[in-house]
Amino acid sequence: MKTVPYFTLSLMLMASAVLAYEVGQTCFSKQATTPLLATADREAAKVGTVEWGKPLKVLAEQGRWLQVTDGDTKGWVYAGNVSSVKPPAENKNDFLPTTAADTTAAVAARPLSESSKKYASRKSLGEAAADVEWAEKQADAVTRAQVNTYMQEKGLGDYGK
Amino acid sequence: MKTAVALHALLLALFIGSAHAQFGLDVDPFKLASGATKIAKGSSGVGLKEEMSIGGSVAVEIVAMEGGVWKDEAATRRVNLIGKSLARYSDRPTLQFRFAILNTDIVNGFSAPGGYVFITKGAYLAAENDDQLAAILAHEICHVTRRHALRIISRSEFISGVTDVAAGSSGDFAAYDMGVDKVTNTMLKTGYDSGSEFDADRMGRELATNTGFARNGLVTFLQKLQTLKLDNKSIFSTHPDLSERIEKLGGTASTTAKSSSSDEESGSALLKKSSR
Repeated sequence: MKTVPYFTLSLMLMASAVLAYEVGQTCFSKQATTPLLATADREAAKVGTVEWGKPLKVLAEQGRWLQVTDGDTKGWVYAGNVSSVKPPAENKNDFLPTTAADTTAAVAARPLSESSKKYASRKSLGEAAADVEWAEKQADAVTRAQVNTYMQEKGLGDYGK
Repeated sequence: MKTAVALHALLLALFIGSAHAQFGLDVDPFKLASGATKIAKGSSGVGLKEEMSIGGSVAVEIVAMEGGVWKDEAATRRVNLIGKSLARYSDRPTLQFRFAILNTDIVNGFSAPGGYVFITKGAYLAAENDDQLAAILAHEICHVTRRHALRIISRSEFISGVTDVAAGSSGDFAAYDMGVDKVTNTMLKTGYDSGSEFDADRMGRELATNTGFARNGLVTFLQKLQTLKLDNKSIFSTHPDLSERIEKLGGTASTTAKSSSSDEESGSALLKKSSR
């Protein structure tokens, strides 16, 4: 009998250690769009969508998932998709192209900028610039699908519970 | 400079419509465009284009000063899988983060604006598992998302040089180069202020936890480093004291830091291991 309260206490401590949110607290969407799901499962039906920066009230938590409401719709979001503090307005720039030449693909894989290449040239750091470009190519070769597979295998992100 | 700012705002206004379509931004493009200049520069005073430029140049300096890039494709792939998993849930989830390993035996991590994250080969080999690697990478990601380096630029006299050169104009190269030097010097020599470091520790732990990695990854890694017989210059020399970082994260710091015991790995053994 004595183990039950300790077990319960342990579960409560584990829960509070996992997430930094409390029921009633406000959190903010930090993705361009964040789906509100019917249950705490990435495969659950979408009941709504909230845009970047939208304040959401936490109603409940389950593992790494939060049940929230935007005032109109109630749904579940993965905790990694929201922030406990309001994201700065400048973060929205990340969603936008930076020049007229930018395409969606270019935005997704920006190479070392011309100004950085010229800097390396002025400083005689061509070898280091080549190393950075090697690193960029290696990094860009790791696709979103490969990251998804890794996360799925490890139970990370919204693949976990 | 005013011309560059106005041009930046115009380009943003022109392309917000297409961004709305491409990225599904559920915002009023005209309302956003009217405040484009303010949004483009933000509170740091540095827009994304300038950030990518300064970050790339700082990355080149870091690589040049820390032994070049360790061209181990399997290890580089591993840090990118871990790092990109973390970046997905960072405060800047669409920023193009790149992760690489520096070819040096010291234990440290660095990051540059725009999403360049480096850990040293010494740190990579000292980490016992993905949780500890994730902790190191999450700390560096948070320096980027919290714009700690950009604050150095934005509050300095170098901002106009950075803006003009990044925009592709002839600009003031001397001011730009001095700006890069100021950031690089902070990262590689003096380090950030302790407040920024503890902020990155705390936010990095939250990021790692929210991604699904162990919450105590950083504490266990720092505790391991305490047991190594390495001098201060070889372990996170640009970061606050290990004991203070551990205690601020709620862990227990070793009272016999850097002392040896029967089952611990010595610093010399680690260096030998990392020189492969």
